[in-house]
Amino acid sequence: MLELKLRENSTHLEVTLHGALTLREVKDAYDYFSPLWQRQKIFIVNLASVTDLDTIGFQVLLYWKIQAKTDGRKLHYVNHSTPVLAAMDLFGSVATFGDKIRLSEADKERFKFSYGARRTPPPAVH
Amino acid sequence: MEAAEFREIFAEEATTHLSTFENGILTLEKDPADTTAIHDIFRAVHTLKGASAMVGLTATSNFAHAAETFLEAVRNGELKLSHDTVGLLLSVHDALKLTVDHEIGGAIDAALKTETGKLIAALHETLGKPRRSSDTEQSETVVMQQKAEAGPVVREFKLEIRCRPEMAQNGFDPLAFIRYLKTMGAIHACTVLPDFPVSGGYDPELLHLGFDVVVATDKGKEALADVFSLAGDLVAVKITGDASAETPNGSVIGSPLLSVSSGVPTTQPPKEESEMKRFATDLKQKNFLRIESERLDSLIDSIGELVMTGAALKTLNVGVGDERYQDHMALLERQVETMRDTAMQLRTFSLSEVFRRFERVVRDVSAQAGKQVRLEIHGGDTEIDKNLMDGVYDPLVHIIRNSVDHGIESAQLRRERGKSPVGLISVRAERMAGMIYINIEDDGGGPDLGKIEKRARERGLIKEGQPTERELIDMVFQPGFSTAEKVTALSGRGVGMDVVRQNVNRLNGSVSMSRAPAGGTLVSIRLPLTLAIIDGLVVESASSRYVIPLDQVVECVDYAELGTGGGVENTGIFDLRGEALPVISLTALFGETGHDTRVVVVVQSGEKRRGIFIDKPLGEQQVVVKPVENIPGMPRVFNGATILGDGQVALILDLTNLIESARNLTDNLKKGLIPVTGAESV
Repeated sequence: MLELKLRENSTHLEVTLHGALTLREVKDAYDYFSPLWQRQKIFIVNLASVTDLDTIGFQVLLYWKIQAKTDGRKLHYVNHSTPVLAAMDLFGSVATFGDKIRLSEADKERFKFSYGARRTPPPAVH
Repeated sequence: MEAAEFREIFAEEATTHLSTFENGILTLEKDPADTTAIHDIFRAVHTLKGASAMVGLTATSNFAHAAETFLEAVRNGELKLSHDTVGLLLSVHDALKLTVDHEIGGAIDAALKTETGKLIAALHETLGKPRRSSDTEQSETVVMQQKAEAGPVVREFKLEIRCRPEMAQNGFDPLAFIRYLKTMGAIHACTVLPDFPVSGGYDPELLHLGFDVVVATDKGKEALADVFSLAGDLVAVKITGDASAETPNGSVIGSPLLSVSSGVPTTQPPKEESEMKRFATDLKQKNFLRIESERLDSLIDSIGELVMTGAALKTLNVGVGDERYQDHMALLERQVETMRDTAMQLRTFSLSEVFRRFERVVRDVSAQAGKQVRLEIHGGDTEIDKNLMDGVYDPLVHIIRNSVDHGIESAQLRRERGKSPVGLISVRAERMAGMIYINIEDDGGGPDLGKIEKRARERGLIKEGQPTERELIDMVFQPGFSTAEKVTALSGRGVGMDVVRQNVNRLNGSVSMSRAPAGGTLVSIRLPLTLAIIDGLVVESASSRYVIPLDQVVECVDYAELGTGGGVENTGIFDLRGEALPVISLTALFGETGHDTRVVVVVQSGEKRRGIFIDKPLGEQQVVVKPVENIPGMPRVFNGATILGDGQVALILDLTNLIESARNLTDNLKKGLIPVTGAESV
């Protein structure tokens, strides 16, 4: 179950995801988000309340990130929840996303980001 | 196959592994030197860990990992099991079982999370390793790294993982695979390789990612390839590594690429089949073997209908003179019979499936009751219909709990009575005369008749006269009846034995209690072999038809053979070739009139042999058992009913209860319920 909340002002559009972002929810999330793409140049996606993230969920986050870069937009993921960090840590993709990550004390202990933390630009859609 | 289906299969597999885990612990408690048991447990938990990771059950996998680490220390002789550690492992088993259930169900509740955390901490503390404040997933890598540093050859492999787009839709999450790789060593690098379609057309439910993973592990290429075997051709993995150039604690890169098609051994087959491969193989086999029990029930129902149709066809008596027709009818009958037996076997399980769970029940209940009790199982290989097995489990557990709590005396009292301080409960199953008998006997003090009588009189259950021992003991099956001095957490509320009887009766069985020959308490449960289709002898008595289970029929005897005047001194006991044979008249028992007794069917139920007066036998027939409600005020003398070929309904006799009901033949005779002459009417 995923709930998306939208806040928009003159400078940017913020989407907050509440719940799981997995194979079950990904189509709804994608269908919700896609029409918003033309409305703004800057997007902030708040991931604080993402309770579960599988590879498909991870993939859509990566897709949006790459799409934003390709279209000349800015997309920032903020407030990464523990499941999101777990996936990014395992996939070694923190640098690929390039977002600032704030770690709680528990997450500092939990995640080492021992690989994939060096900044590299995300690959482009080909 | 959908993810949900995988999880369903995993749930079944998990039940087996958890059962192995539990039984192994109980075996080790008795014999800590049993290396087979420790290997079995370790393998079960290891497989559970891997399989749960494969289906994305992270909490289960992490918890199993902690248990596996603990068991590894036991297996390596670094840790000796004590009563406390056995208790800890049993608690781990219980919590692991709940974790599997909860995680498959969708969420793990907070209380279980807390409990699990405490148990993992206890495992770590017992091992002498303080638990890290991070969760187990993190500590897995640390443990593996520590192992690598300690000596085993660690090699670095590069895995190029390429996924088919529909992989996720088929229930396989690459994240779970990579997470599992992490449990095998240390991941040094992971690169995500997107392959999104050009100019739109992105389907968010399809997988467009590949992964290059570098992992340092002391495992071989085969073990790494095995991780992906479950996903079949949904994933292709290329593994780079050089086994020949391995160096301790070093990493070697640069060997020729080794292409690994999932599930196919890369080099020589490993000496021991890995657990993951075994899980994958089992899973594939299960794809062919798994049948929902409802479908099986439906098949058996259909076969039942076929049996009835065949019986109807037979009664039409067409083609009587046609030999070919007769041959084909006989062939059809045999084929239907074979089909019936095969279908029934599909639903048959060994009683050991139920019995092995009793070890734990006895252990826990005796610990709670502060007693020492040993359990002996006999006849666990007796086979039983699954529906019966499911139905009889709770009654058996209740009886065993009662035996521990009430039957077996305290160690001190046992010593005073010259017994071993360790009580014994013996569970024995056997198949006899078309029925299954399960006897639960303890070597305790036996039923306390004084207490039972006192309580029965207090409750007004004894109206007049002095009840026999049998009648007194039978009162424990009265609702709310209890002789316990105090209510304990285990029993004593008087809720139980009546429910036991209700449940067993619902299975067309019966339950009784008596004093065991050795002085303890004996509870006997009797169950039919099946609830579905049986072979029966159809008989007619007065205007009614009955079915007598064929495997309980000894012979049919002409009434004339029993001699005229019938019976020894009008007692209802006849002389059958020198054998005293008590007889039962169905017409008398059911108050029917107008019959003409010409035949006596000699039947055997357990050790009891009886004759049943009938008018005539109508022939052998397979009958489909349909349940019937018990008639109020009547003894439960029917196992069910069936519809005969001509559409008539026949009641199926429950011979044990029938004999029981008519056991006091002399009394019945006096009451005019037993005929004493040939063609008499009551």
